[in-house]
Amino acid sequence: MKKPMLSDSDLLAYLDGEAEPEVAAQIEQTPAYQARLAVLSEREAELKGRLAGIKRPFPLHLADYHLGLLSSTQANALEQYLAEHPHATHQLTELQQLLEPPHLPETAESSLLSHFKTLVATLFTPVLQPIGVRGSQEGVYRAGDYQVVLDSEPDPANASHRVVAGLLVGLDGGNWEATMWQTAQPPYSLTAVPLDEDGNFIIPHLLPGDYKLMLRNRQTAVQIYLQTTIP
Amino acid sequence: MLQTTDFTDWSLAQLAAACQQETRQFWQGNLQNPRYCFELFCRALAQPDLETSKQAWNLIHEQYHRQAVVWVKRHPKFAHTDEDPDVMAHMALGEMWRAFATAPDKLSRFPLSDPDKCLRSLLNYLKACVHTVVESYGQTVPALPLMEELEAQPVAASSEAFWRCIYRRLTDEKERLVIDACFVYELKPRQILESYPQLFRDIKEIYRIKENVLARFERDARLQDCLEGTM
Repeated sequence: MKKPMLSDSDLLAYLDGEAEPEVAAQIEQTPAYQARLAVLSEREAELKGRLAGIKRPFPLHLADYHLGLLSSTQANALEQYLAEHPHATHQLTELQQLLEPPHLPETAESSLLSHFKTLVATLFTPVLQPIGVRGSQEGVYRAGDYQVVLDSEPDPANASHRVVAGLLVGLDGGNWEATMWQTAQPPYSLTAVPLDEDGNFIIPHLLPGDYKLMLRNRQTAVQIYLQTTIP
Repeated sequence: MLQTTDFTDWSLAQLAAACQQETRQFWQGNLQNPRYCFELFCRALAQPDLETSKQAWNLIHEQYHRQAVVWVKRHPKFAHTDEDPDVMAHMALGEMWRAFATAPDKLSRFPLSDPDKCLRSLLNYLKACVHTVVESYGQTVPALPLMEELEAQPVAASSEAFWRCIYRRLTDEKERLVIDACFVYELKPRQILESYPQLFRDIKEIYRIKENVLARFERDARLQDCLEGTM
């Protein structure tokens, strides 16, 4: 019986030791396949050689980025790398998923978090509505006696990013902080900022996407979650 | 309100004992201000080249090794390794020490004014080290560079230009991902399939993508331009 023609896929799999025994035998007995293997091998080696000079970020630098430990220059360089290297973006996403919720020893996490009264805010205004100049958009969310007003507009420092300005209404003392992270599409990053005494906060450098926002007050043990979309 | 304590007269042994007590409280959910463990971390990492810093780090190692083992065992990819979790936890703590030893100002980038937040960030960093060790098991990873190398990468210029040239000419996200993972990260299709089980139907799909791209290098003038450096 005539054996089927093998494709370059089969030959590439053979090079990696992934070919079935009968396919491997067919390749080893056929000079034409041997010649084609040599071409594919050479092409692979050439590509690897040409790309060998790329400095891949050390995995822990992704953690530095996630934890906000890089300077803005370093962060920009890494973001540029991430924009052109989807596998690195995937690595960052995996790391961020592993580190969220952040920090606490696993055995203590649930008992510590249970100390917080958790409120989920829902959208009060119908949808994010354009409110005028420069594509600014606004939404009002309600959670118990609190209201959260979010306003996003283009980031003046980077046309592809947006800045979110927020206001928490109903402050009742203590120090509030806002943490925002992208929930679905990579790359996402976790950004935490303190609220000022009037409840204002600004979170810059956000890519369009779906986000979760957590407002937390450790003193009064209240945390508010909401979901929003940055267009 | 954070409590402050002057630790000038505290020995490492005293701090380690207090940190141990503190960690027990933390696991029970009774800890308000983790100042002893925070101080121990500061002694270890503020000036890593000092002999006393290494002694302090040994105590940190002893204190947090058990937690690191828990994180190793819970890592989603730990099952793919055949390594002892105890050894991996040691490796992760070693990674963390090296990361600070090669960047002596690293600790200053953490939120030192807030011991609670800072300690949680440091533990998150340790968790990231665990992730790096498990994730990198059996793979080639770049040597840990200095932080400054993130800003300046002159050696990589020609490789980067070559990558940008072919990246722009690849037709879709799957092609970009496969070529990035194969030729920049030197992963075999089997490893790519394990990393992206939701994205690819089987290993054959990955080989077909690789075959298509390699074939285009032979017949697509625009990709040949990249190889010839005339992009």
